[in-house]
Amino acid sequence: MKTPPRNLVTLGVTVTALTLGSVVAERLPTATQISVDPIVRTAGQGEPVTLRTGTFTVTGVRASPQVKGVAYGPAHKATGRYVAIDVEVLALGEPRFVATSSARLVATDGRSFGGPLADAPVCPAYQPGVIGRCTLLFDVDPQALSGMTLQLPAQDDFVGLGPAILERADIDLGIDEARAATLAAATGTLDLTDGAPR
Amino acid sequence: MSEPTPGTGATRASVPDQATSDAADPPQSPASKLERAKDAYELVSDVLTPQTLLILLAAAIIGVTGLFGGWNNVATAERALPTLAPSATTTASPFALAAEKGVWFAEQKGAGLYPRPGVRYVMVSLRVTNLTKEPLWTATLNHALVPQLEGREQSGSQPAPPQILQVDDAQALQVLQPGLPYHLVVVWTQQDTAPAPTQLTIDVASHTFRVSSIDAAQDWRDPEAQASVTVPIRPAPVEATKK
Repeated sequence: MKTPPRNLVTLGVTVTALTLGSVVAERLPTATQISVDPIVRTAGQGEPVTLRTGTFTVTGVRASPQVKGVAYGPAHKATGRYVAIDVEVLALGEPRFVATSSARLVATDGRSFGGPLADAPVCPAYQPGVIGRCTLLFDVDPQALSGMTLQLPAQDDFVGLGPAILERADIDLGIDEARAATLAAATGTLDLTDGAPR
Repeated sequence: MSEPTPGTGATRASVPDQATSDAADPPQSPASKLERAKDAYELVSDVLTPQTLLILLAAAIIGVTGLFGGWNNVATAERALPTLAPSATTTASPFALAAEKGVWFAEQKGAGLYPRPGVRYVMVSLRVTNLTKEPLWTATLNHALVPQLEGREQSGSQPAPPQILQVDDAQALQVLQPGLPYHLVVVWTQQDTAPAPTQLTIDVASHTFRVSSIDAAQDWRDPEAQASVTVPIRPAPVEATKK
């Protein structure tokens, strides 16, 4: 019995539609990915990256064994090495804060460094349309500097329950072995009160 | 016709008849016992329903269990903890730590520890490394150290949490970064009505990383003592406490 051409066309259309549907479904995020995994934007040092709260640009990376922070008293020593990341901020829509507490420096060995430090400068609320500057401060293992990436969430996770950080920028700081050695060997005191090394 | 039984004059056929007549009650079959039990139950069946009987049985089990002490609190098993020497490093998940020595004082202004009426400070130096790959709040370290300190100051119904300061600059530490070796002091407060310690035993507890049973948050929980260390405590020189 000969198959009518119309049936062959139907079969072809069906198989094609199923194949396309499968390909599309594979590319759509799963429910878990939507509810837990953050949306990640990538950039390099000096490249602006836009999140829902604003546009952020890493403009500089500095390091020192001690820092003169905004806290009272003399300069404070790092347990490892202080790394200061200068970030330019352009807030979107409304006054925004930089996620200083939730930002992380992630090493190639999987360790992440971050959280509040007594000496870290306080970054104010940034008004929309006005470029501001914020310095993020980390105390890191100097052996882990090479290849470090800054993970900067769109906002701080103050709630601490579940995936409050829904969007973040992963910014490659461009620290190769030579640059890591330079940062690790840096001396002096970082003065975070004026944004320039002293 | 039966033959007469020797010595009795009775015939064999008459024996069963005599036995029957001598018995008070005839033997009952199991069926008749069941019938009588049913009849007895009929008298109380309106009160002792099967459900009521089950409840009474459960109550009896609970009561008997209680009589034999089954509902008493389970006594905490006295377990001798391994003893560490001062400055000996031990791994108490998620930390590697070593308690060194301590001092007590009434004030240490350079560290922001000002004199408070009725309170003295007991401070122990510590070397700690966070063994995980994430920054850890020092609150976890607080729970990993349980001092056997008489007269420890209370905060509500709980012992007041200690302050954790860095030795180098007396700055309060909030977060321990992974893999960095910290030299810290832990400062507990003690009511000065209690005797000043000459030594302090600290139980060191390890934690388990798990999801909360209340929310989805993952954290280090369930501290469990796994070792103890006794460090010497001396009074701090007076001139040192004024700085």
